[in-house]
Amino acid sequence: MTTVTRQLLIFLGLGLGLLTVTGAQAQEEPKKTEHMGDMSHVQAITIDRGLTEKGAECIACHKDKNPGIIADWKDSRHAHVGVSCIDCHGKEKDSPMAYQCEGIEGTDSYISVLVPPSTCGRCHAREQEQFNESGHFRSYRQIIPKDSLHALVKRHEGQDHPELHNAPNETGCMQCHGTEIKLGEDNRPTQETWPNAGMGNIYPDGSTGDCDSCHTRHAFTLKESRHPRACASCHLGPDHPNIEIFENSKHGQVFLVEGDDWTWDSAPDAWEPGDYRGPTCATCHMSGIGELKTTHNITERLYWNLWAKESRVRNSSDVMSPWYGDGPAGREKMEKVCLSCHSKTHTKNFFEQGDKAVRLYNEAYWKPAKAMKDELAEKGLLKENPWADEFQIAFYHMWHHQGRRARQGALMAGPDYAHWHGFFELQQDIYKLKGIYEKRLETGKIEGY
Amino acid sequence: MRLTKIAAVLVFLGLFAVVSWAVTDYAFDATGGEAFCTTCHTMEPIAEAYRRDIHGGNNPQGIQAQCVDCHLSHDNPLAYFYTKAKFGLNDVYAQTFKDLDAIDWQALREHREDYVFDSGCLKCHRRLETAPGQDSRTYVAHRPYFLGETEKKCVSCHEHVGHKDLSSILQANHRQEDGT
Repeated sequence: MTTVTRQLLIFLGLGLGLLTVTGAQAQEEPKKTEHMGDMSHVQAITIDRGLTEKGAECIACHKDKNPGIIADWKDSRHAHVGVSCIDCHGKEKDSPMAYQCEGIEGTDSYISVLVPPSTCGRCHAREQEQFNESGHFRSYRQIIPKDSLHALVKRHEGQDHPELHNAPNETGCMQCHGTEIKLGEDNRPTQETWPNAGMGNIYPDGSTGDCDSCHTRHAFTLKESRHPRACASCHLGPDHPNIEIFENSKHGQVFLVEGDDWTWDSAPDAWEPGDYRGPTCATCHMSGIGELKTTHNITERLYWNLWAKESRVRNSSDVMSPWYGDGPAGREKMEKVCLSCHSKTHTKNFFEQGDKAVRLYNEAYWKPAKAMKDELAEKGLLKENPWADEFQIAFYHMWHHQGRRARQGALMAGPDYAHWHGFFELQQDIYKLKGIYEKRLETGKIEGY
Repeated sequence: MRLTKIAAVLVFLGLFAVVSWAVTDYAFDATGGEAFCTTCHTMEPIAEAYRRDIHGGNNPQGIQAQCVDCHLSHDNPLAYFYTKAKFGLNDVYAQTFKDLDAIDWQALREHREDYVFDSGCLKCHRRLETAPGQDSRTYVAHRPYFLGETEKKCVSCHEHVGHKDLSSILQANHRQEDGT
């Protein structure tokens, strides 16, 4: 071996060694841009099982652009059965919602960020049909004709501001109740109507609802929809504190202590006592428990309407009616829910207690307050602006806030809401209303500013 | 002599049955596809969208469903005949007496369940419920249908099947006729 050859070999050997070391370091050291949750760098996702070619292309691109969405989806049941982006977001070219994102420009694929319930209903047909027969269906539709409500939101809350009057609606009402989603010239939803996950959205294809309200995209977990928090983002606050009532109840007590250890993902109709030690909202109002079948008609197991000004037993087949449902049949179903964990005596006595509270509200509060209001209206003793009139403000709070709290607290076993936030406040209201009423009749004038 | 007469009658009846079957079959076949249906000018945009669709032969195998394969009931021969007569007479009546420009095809598409028959779809897709090798999303999606848990029909979900880009073709056609 010549010296030159030896030197060359040593040189090559050193070079190779250096390359190996550098290579190993490069593998060990994470890229500077890499951080938790950024899936584009943590891992490459290549799925060639069960996905259409288009579906795989969406994922390949959006894992970089919106890693959060892909991270959600990849753990979902949809991902497991091969349902991917394009299956729900894909649109026919001639759909009013159809447009093309950068990645599909020039192809014959069209998409929309909007996924109407009709799309979900293609696979979840029964669920959509049940939803369409439920009180949730009218979440937005029922407020369309309510002029006094539009006046409250636009004129009073929005102060008739020429540009910004709709802000309270966009950030408030619409986010729970939904709206009619409108499209801009680019076929994308307008700022005024989207984003929102409002229960009663009317989509441009005419279908109503928003599955995403309870089944948050893009994970759609069973646990979430069965968890009280699925309902709590809308069913809370002074006018219908349902999550607070639940937490105040024995059911909530058990849930808050032990819920983390419960089994949340049993198959529909098979999620039964034993998986949990106490019910959540879904258990009583929707779940297949005992002989009852799972339903997306949340009205099906109800007896009263507990949010109307006056409570009546449900007795209407018109889904737009506040009295929609079959009260006695609903009560029978709800009793079956209770009987999974409670005795007959417990169940019967519980509902008798609750019904008394509802009837007391109707008879001792609603009826006399309504009679006073009608008389004042007849005698011209109500201000035109109800929100600057002490009587009308107290009247509103009486039925819309404390009246609901008393009734809903009573029938969902939340004693603090039945009593302190309910009947205690109600008696204060009725005395206040009587006081103002008597003074106005006596003086023939509307007091105050 | 008598036997001959009986034989002659039988042969005649046999021939009559074969010929009338052949004529009927030919007539049904000749009046069941794109060529015949577009003799009414109003059907042209619908046929154009059909030709662009997989079901209209726009597929590598060139397989083509005929109009009547989807738009007539295939429950049984009587139902087939009844729907053919009903739609046929309706079309002749409309073509003769109605203002054809006033027909809102787009709105009529909302009633597609009344014009497309599941028995037609399932005549070709007859093993859809148990088709081997179908992907899991297809299986899951059709479960409620085959379990009878939904009132939906095939076209409730497959709302564009059979006629690709129909809305835009109808719109373009409308603009053309308006001269705009």
